Amino acid sequence: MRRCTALAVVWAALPLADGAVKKSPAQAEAYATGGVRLATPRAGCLLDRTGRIRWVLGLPGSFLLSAPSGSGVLAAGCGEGFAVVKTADSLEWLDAAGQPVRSWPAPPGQALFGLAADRAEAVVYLPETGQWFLATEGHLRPLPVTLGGAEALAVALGGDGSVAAVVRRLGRLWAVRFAPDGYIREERELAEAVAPILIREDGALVWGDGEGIVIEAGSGARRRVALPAAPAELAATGERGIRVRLATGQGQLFVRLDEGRDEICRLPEAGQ
Amino acid sequence: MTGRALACLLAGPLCVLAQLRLYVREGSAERLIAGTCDLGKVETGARRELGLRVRNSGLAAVRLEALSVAGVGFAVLSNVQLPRALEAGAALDFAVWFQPRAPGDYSAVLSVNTQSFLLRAVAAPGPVVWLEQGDRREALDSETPVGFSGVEQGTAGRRRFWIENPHSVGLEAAVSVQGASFRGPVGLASPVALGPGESATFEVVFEPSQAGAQTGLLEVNQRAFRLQGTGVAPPFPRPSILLDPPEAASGRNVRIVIRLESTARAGGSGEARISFEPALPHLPDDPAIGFSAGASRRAAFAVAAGQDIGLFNQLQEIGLQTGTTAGRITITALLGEHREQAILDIRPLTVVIDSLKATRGSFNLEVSVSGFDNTRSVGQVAFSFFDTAGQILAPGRIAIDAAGEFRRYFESSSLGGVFALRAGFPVTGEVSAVAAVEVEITNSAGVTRSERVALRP
Repeated sequence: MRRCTALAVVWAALPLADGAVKKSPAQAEAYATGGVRLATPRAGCLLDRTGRIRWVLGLPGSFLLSAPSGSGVLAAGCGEGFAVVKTADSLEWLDAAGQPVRSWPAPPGQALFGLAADRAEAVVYLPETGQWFLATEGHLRPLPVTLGGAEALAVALGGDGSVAAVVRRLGRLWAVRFAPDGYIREERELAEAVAPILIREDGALVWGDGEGIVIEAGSGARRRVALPAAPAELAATGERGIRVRLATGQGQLFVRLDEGRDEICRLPEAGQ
Repeated sequence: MTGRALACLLAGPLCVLAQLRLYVREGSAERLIAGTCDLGKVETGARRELGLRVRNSGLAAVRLEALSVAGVGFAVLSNVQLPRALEAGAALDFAVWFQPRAPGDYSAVLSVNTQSFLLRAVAAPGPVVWLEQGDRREALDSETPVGFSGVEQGTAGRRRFWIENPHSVGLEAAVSVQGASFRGPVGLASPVALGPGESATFEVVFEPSQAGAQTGLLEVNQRAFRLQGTGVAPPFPRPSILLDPPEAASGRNVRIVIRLESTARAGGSGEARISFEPALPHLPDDPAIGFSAGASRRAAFAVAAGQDIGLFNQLQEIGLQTGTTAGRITITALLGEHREQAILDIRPLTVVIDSLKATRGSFNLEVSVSGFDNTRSVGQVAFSFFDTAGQILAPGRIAIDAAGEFRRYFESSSLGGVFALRAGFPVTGEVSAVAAVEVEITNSAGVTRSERVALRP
């Protein structure tokens, strides 16, 4: 993977710390490489009206949008240093600069993405064909997951490689988690949840509730965050962030969920 | 052509007379005048204008040398300098007008070169219209407009008029007012009968519904007087800028509300602006400082009549990102003549750590820190690793001089003081024994110590 490769270079180029290392009781020793890598923090991306992606750069209280990249994008999932995008006829892996690294032919239509928060991996669901893939920078591997005719509303990639989805079947919503081999680990009905809905990699659910969102942790604990307008679309952004597109064109918000202190800030408009 | 001209010269004046014909213009048509033209009945003081056309109906050019009218109350209106040649078939438009001062039968002779036409008109008794100007009155004519200057929207301006019958016979005066912002006659039931020497008074009211120049018409029988008014937008109440929170640091979102000291009497629009002055000489501007709705430093707001709050795109507030550079943010609200300002002083801070993550690999640790340094002066970054018992691991606190790395990064970054740092550490021994990490970052404002964060697999 790109990130690990870069680190390996750093280690190879820089000598390890000197021999003044003492063994700890735990028999572990850490050495500084003497180097750090710096970059601009990112908080996902937006799709503008012309089908290009704009990275959300910075931190809450200091967001800016990057210059647009890509073209003809129908759906996008953006991690810290990569993006997976669906165009009319392909799936593409873009690097941090928005340049295509890999491209795979794909059937027409939309896509749902679930990104791992701490690594460059994404689960991809193509609703038109019901196909699932695990995408990495150099690979696109089919996943043996089937929904049996249900409509997927949100997907997520768990830290253990499991795949989570919220599906609508017979007019009801269900949360489903699949093992990497495609077997169902868990399936439960979501009696109160409604679209728009989001499932996070840790299994937490977020759904719209009037002018607000409800967050249901994996433990079942719930809380509500008030918003200035009803949400129309939810997207996971990093480990703690949610991007919320408000209904009636009232813009987009970045909501960061912290214990005891949720933070809501407005994202710059993508415009053209 | 030469043959025709020669024939004309031989024929002399008869040829010229026969060629020029006089018409009354009636829209796009014309009616031939045969000797006499009647201008009809005109009130004293009023003016009747008649559009005429002289046409060369012959086959040769004619020299038009004289165009005049002789008779009391009559005059010619023409823009043409005489003499002037009229080609065969060509026409020249002009007008005559009649404006009698006293009742009676009038006539005049209109001369076109050597041809004469009789103009007739009857002057009927008409009222004299006066405009009150302070403590005196001024007779109105149709040429001079009546002004209502500088009337504020929502209020009214009034002018008083008099109509007088100076004649020895009675007359009737019909008075009306045209124009969206004008109203009248106020204080007069129209039509009004005026005996000899009698007069009546009334007012015309100008009530502008919008700012700017507006026109109307006062009609008294056959006479029309132009009304001109200027609507003036009422002054906006003084706006104040409310900040929530009132004091802010870097990396915050501040709600801005524009509140007026009273309700606005008329609608309008204003603008909020942001300017930024970095606190330290080496700090450049920070483009992330701005209104988050549009990532810009200007935002228009609307004020509706009867409201005391500015609306930003229908919303009662707008968000401001304070960015990640120390300095002074000035918010200015411009509304009408008002210019109000609020200041947010963003003090230099120790580095703010927004998130800290550390993960274990098979033989290494990776630490990720995101945050900001609003002084852009990071010097040292130090890492301390702990075992499951909370004991610091060898080689102890690992300090890295990162000043150069940060300086180069900030020089190339256009996003204020934000950064995402990654550091990798090879580990000998059991990587799983490394349980937690702490990070210290030093800048010109001091040292920031993170919480102790557990490592993830």
